[in-house]
Formats: sequence, structure tokens, C-alpha cells
Amino acid sequence: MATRAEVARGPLTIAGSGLRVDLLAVAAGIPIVLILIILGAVAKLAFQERVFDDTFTVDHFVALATDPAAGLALRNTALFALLTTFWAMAFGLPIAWLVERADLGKKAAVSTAMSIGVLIPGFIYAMGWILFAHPRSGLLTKLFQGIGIETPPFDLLTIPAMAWVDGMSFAPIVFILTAASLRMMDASLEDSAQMCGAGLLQRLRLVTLPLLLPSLAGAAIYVFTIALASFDVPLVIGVSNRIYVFSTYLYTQVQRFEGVPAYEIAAAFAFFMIAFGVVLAWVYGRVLARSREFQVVTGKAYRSRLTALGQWRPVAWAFLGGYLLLSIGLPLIVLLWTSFLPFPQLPSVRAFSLLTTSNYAELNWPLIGRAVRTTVLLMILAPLVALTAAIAVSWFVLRTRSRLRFAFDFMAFLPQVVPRIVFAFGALMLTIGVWVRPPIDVYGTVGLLVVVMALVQLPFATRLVNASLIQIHNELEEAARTAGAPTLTVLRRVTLPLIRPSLVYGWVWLSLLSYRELTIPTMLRAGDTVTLSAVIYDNYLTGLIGPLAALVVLMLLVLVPLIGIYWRVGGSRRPTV
Amino acid sequence: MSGSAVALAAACGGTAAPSPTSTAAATGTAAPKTKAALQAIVDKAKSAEGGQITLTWANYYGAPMAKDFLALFKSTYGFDAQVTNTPTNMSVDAPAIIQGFKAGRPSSTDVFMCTDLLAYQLERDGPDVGEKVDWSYSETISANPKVVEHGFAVHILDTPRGITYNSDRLKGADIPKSLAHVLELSTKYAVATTPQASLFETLAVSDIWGEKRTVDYVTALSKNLKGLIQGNELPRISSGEFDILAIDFGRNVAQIFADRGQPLGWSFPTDAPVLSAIYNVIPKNATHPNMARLWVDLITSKAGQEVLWKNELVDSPRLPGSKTSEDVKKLESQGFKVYATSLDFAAKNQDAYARLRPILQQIVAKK
Repeated sequence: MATRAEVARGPLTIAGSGLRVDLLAVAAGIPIVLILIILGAVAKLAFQERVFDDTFTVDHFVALATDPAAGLALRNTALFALLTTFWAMAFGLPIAWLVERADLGKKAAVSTAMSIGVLIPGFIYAMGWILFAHPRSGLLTKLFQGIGIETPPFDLLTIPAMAWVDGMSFAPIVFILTAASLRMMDASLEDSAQMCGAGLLQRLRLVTLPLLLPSLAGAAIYVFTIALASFDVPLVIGVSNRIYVFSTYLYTQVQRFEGVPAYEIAAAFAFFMIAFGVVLAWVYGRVLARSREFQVVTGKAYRSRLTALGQWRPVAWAFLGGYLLLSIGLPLIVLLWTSFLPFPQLPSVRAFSLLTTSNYAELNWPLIGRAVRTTVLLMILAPLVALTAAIAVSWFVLRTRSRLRFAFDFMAFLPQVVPRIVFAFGALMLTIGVWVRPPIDVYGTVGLLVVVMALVQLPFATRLVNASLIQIHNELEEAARTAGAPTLTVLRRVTLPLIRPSLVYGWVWLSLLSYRELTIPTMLRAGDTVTLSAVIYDNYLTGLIGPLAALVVLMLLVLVPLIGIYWRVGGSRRPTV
Repeated sequence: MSGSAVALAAACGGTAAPSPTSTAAATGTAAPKTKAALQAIVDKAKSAEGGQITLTWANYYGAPMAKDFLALFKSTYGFDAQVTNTPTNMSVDAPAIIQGFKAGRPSSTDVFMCTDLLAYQLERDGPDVGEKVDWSYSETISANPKVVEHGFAVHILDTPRGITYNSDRLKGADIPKSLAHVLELSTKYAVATTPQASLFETLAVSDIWGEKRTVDYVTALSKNLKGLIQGNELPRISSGEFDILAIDFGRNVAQIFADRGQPLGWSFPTDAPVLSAIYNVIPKNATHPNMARLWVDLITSKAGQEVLWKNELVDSPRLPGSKTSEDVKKLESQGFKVYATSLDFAAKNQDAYARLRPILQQIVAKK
């Protein structure tokens, strides 16, 4: 006869059926199966002659492997992704530490400012920097030329400069991915180091950073994969100077002005990304395998306390102010300025004479109204589904000894490395019923958008939940189990309350990422399922930059106060143990 | 071959393309049955479809022009059209339309607006998607059957493709007159082309330029190119980031931005004057097929074509009274030969397009 604890840990028996199932394993399995099915559709497409011609071919792989331009794009991509990750970490991590672990103050304001960064489309960042620092027409160039220096020292049209721009725009993502872990870190460890005579920098290097390693690895890998597929900045700044990374190389190969996009080439490319993703997932898996070394929230005395900045405070504010000025202030100024102009241009007497409110007056309000409805639903539901799935997957990966756990973690990570356009197209083909009629008719519904969006958010959500679960020692859950609590009760009563701050964080940020997501809504929209990001992108595609800026300004006016309220009310709460 | 004498079909294999004006369709008179057929469609559009129409037309066809079309619709058919337009890139929309049709689902749009190549791909990949409508209800189309190609694609306009430039920076003798002139100017001004080297493949596969001349030109231009931008990114010309875009997405695009106060000028290159065809296709699985029929009838009507011209300086040279046709006549009177693409041209040159496009793209992408 099984002991009470064993019963609690074991699978459930469905009454009357004799069928034994582990509900959490099933819950974890659903998103994994959906991902596999969509990737299966992508795989099929990669070996097709064309989207609508399923003759078997490997030509797309051969073409990619033998094109010298693809090789050059690959080298550019590697450098771009590495530098972007560097800059994102260099800005995002210190700011997260300053906000969560130091007595910097103004936490809600800083967090709100960081959130604004996520709300600004990448096109705006790129446009802002072009207006500011383009070597032919930028403000900086004009200023240098005004003092007799023809060529400014900073060349925007290079890979390192593009990485700088993109890295700053990704810093808020590093901020969110590391802030939760920093918040939950036990200050006694740092205190001990301090008592042993370690200074601030020494404590950071020897205690804080090693403790954060899983979070850092997760954030770095996550940002690196985003940078690999980054599109906005490479398109606006890179292509205009004939610098290609893989995303823009693929874009010019796939997107044809006059004809049907060649998705089959993108699908073949996805295979290379998946192979690379295997390596990244393996690296991350190695970090996870050592996860118990990083469990800092235990059943014993746990407390989280702020570090006094002391003489470093002015330096901290200068760093933060510099970042916010360049990454938030500059694009915001450009956004506001552009929204009142017929076309982007530098400030001048003529520009001031052209100021107009017509960009606001001409907005297509019926379309925007439909887009707002869909976007709000997406911002609420997609993170909810993604985080629910992530809890199940992360639990399965970190709290069971199943042989499938690493496979599950890897599969949950895969949507991150597959180009979204391909993932979305795979989902489109499946739901539209080209090969097999789906059992549920979801094509053209918000439900489809929510599910596909949640699947591509799963890597972010699982990295976030993984990082939090790693820090919670098993002993807390084991104590509950010993007391007879079944798995779901342990999850509900012990684990979820402990990781609640991370979940709320995650929900807010995934919500913002849902607002910002472009590819999936563009591909899967039908009729009423148009989103605000799709409307913004359509404006960009058709060159209507003024209306685009006006729409983003209005959205910021609505969203920023809401985010500010969140950070003031909800974001300041500490985890309770 | 379909009724399109405007087509570049004859150019397949390198023969000369006919000019649009030389084949402009003649007007005709409406048969009595036309009015009865039209009234039947109007009745169904009002009663069965509630005057609703779903479109996925790009932003260009959004604000001022939409207002003109809605007013015209009401005055023509006697009731209001309830338009739900979700601007969508036509390239992205095409596979969704084909997929939707194959799966027996309603189309995302009641009237698909597309290029000649997309119309061809719709026919190739999704046979029978396009409704072969009995156009006898439409006075204009009945009288000008050459606007209909392959039975399903209705030619609504040609857009002249050319050179967009910053009119603040390029003046007088520097205003580009031809692609050869652009090459000269590329040492002095910042010249951009599109990443797809759009339209150069048309010059290459036809007898307009032919392959060698086109490849030589693009190679020479590439040496001095300052960058690549999309044909819609004209604010980057206005802002001074670039001075010239050649070859652009059409005069209508430049016109839209110029109307918004942007310092843009446009030239029709005398050494490569090409008109790109735009079609309307009614998918068989359109949700509002009767409203779709009225919409196409409206756009091809004399008043509809005037709305197009008023807003974007485009119309169909295959229809009587075309202003584009007059422009072409002027050029032809100066000894220039104007070419027009078509569905037939796209169909017959698919293989050449597929071979040449990557070559040209690689040339412009290389620094």
C-alpha cells in the first residue's frame, strides 16, 4: 500500500475509468504538442517546392548553404547578436540591480520608464537614431559639420552601431528577466560577504552575479535569440546601407513586392535556426542542471534587503539618466516631433512652419477601434495562457525526474529560435485546414491569436518561471507533501505564492510584448482580429510615418499612466515567504 | 490570349511590347439587359448582403479616396456601402486567400487588389479562386472587354514606374530624366533603389532593355548606390537621407506623399517608361459577392476612374477618357515607346523572372 506522501505525489486516477494521469504533465504536454505540430508544418513547408506545390525538394537548403551573401549575413548576424546582447545586458542588468537591490529610490518611476521602452516600436528607435546620427543627414552630423568636422566620429551605418541601438532597446527585457530574481535574492549572503570585508564591487562580483547566473544565462540567451531574429533596426538602418543580417537577408529573399512571399525559403532557414537553438538550449540546460546551487529562497530565514549606494549614488543616477535619455528620451522626442509633421525632418524654421495636427485628424478611427478591442484581449489573455503553460512546463522540468523533462524544456524554448513569420505561417496553414481539417474552427478568431501568441511567449515565460523556481528550495514543497498535500495543492499553496511577484512581473511584461508583437497578428489577422501593432506596421509599410507616430503617442498617453499605477501599487510589493 | 491587347504578352521572348494607347479600348453602349442585370445585383447587395463589403486594401486606399468612393457608390447605386477595410499587404494576403479558398472558407476580402504577378500566382496556385464573373451587368466592362484578363482579373489601373527625387535638392538640369541620367547623378547625389531591384527584372526579360543591358546598368548603378529602401519609404527621400529612388513603386505613391507636403518630384524615365498593371479579382469564396461586383463596376466606371486620377494620378489606359493614356500619347509623340505589364506577360515570363530576380538582387545588395 502506498504511503500518504507517495499518493500525494503520484498521478491522479480518473474515477471509473481506471486511467491514471498526471494533470501537470498533461498540462505541460499540451503546449509542447502544439509546438511540435506547428513545427511539423514548418518542416513540411521547408521541403516543398513552393507554398502551394508540395513537390519534395532540398533546393532551398542548398541555395541557403551556397549563397555567399548568406555567409556574409551569417557573420554579420553573429557579431550583431553578440554586441546587441552585450549592450542589453550592460544596461539592463545594472539598472535591475539598482532598482531591486540598491537604495536608489524612485523605483516606480524608473520601472515605468523602462516599460515605456517596450512600448516604442523598433522602427521609431531606428528612425530616431537616423534623424539624430545619420552620417549624411543627422543632427549630430550637422553639429559636427558646424564646427568644421566633416565626418562625425560615430558612424551609425555599421554593425556595432546598429547593435548599440538594438541593445539599448532590448535592455528593458533584460531588466524584467533579471529583476525578479534580484528581488527574491537573500540579502544575508551579501551581508556575510560584507562582514568578511568585501566592498560593493567585490560583493557584486563574488556573490550577487554568481547567484544570478541562471537568470543571467536565461536573459542573455533570450536576448541573443531575439537579436538573431531582430528585424526593425537591421531593416531601417542596415538595409539602407546594404548591411544584411539574416533576418533582412531572409526578408529580401522571401518578400516580393509583386508576388507571393517565398515562405518555403524562410522555413528552410528555420532549420538552421533550430540547429543553433539546440546548442543554446543545451547551454541553458547545463546551467539548469546546476540549478540547486542557486536556490536562495529556502524554508529557513530569508530576507531581501537593499544595498546602500553611498558615494556611488550620483554615478548610478548619471548612468541611469544617460541610458533613459538615449533609449527613451530620444525616441520619445522624435515620436512627438514626427507626429506633428508631414514627414520626418530635423528642427528648422521651415519645419516649425509645417507643424500640423493632421496626422491625428486623419487617423482611421473605425479601424483603430477594432484594433484596440483585439489588442486588449490579446494583452490580457495571451500572457495568462503563456504563464499557465509555463508553470506546468517549468514544474515538469525542474520538479520531476521524468526522462522527458529536458526535451520539454528544449521544446518550450524552440519557438524562440524559429522565425516568427514561419511559425505564424505554419499555424495559419494548420488552422485553415489545408492538409487536415482541424477539429475546432479557430481560423480568424482572437482565440487563435491568443494561443499562437502564448506559444511564442512560452520561451520567455518558461525562462522567467524557471529562474524563480530554481531559487525556491525543494524542501518547502517536500514539507507540504509530507503533510499530505497533493501536487496541485503544493503548487497552489506553496509554490505559486512564492513566485507570485515573478508571475505578476511576467504577466505585465508579456502583456506589453503582446501589444508590441507584430508578425503573428499580421499573419493571422482576418477581419476583426487586426491589432494595434498591425495597424502601426501597416502605416510604416505604406510610409505613413506621421500617422504612425500620432497613433503611438496616443497609445503611450493611455498606457503609460496605467503602467505607472502598476509599478506604484503592485510593483513595489515584496515577495512574502 | 485573353482580351488584353495592352499586355506585354507579345514581348515574351524579346519582342516589342505594344503601347497602352495604341490599344485603348473603345467605348460602347449599354445593352438593355445590362440595366436589368445590374438592378438584380443591386437588389441582392442591399437585401442579402446589407450593403456590406469586406476589403483588405492598403492604406493608400484609406482616407480621402475612400470618402470619394463611398459618396460615388451612394449616388450610383442609391444606397450606402458599409465598408470594413483592414489594410493588408497584398503579397501576404494572396496565400491566405488561396488557402482559405482551398479549405472552403470565406475569403478575407471581397475584392482582391493585386499586381499582374500576384494575379498570375493566384491563378497558378489556386486555380478557380478568381470568379469568372458574367460582366454583362457592368456597362463599362461590357463595353471594354479588354480590361478583363483570363476571365477573372479586371484591370483597374496602370501605375507609371519611375524616379522619385527630393525636389528641394534636385533642381533644373539635375532633375532626373532617365535611368541613364540617374547613373550620372549617382556620383553627386545619394541614390537608392529597392532591395528587390523592383521592375529591373521586367526591363531584363522584355525587349525594353533585355538581360545584358539591364545587368550592366544595375551593376554600374550598384557601385555608386548609397543604399536600399522600400518603394514606400519616400519620407526618407523627403528628409534628405537619400536624394533619389529609382526605380520606385509608382507615381501614385510619390503623389500621395507630395500631397502631404513632402518635397518630392517624380520623373517618368524616357529610356524605360513602364506601366505596372493593377487588377481587381473577386474570390469565389467572397462573403459579399454582389457588393464585390458593384465595387468593381464602380471602380472601372468613368466616375470611378476619375476618383482614382483625382486622388492618385492613376487610371486604366484601357478605358476611355484615361488621363494616363493622354500622358502616354504625349511621350509617344516625342518618339518614346511606353510599355505596360499584364497578367499574360507575368505568366509567360515566370521562369525568366525566377532566374533573373536573385541575380539582380545580389548585384544591388553588394557594396
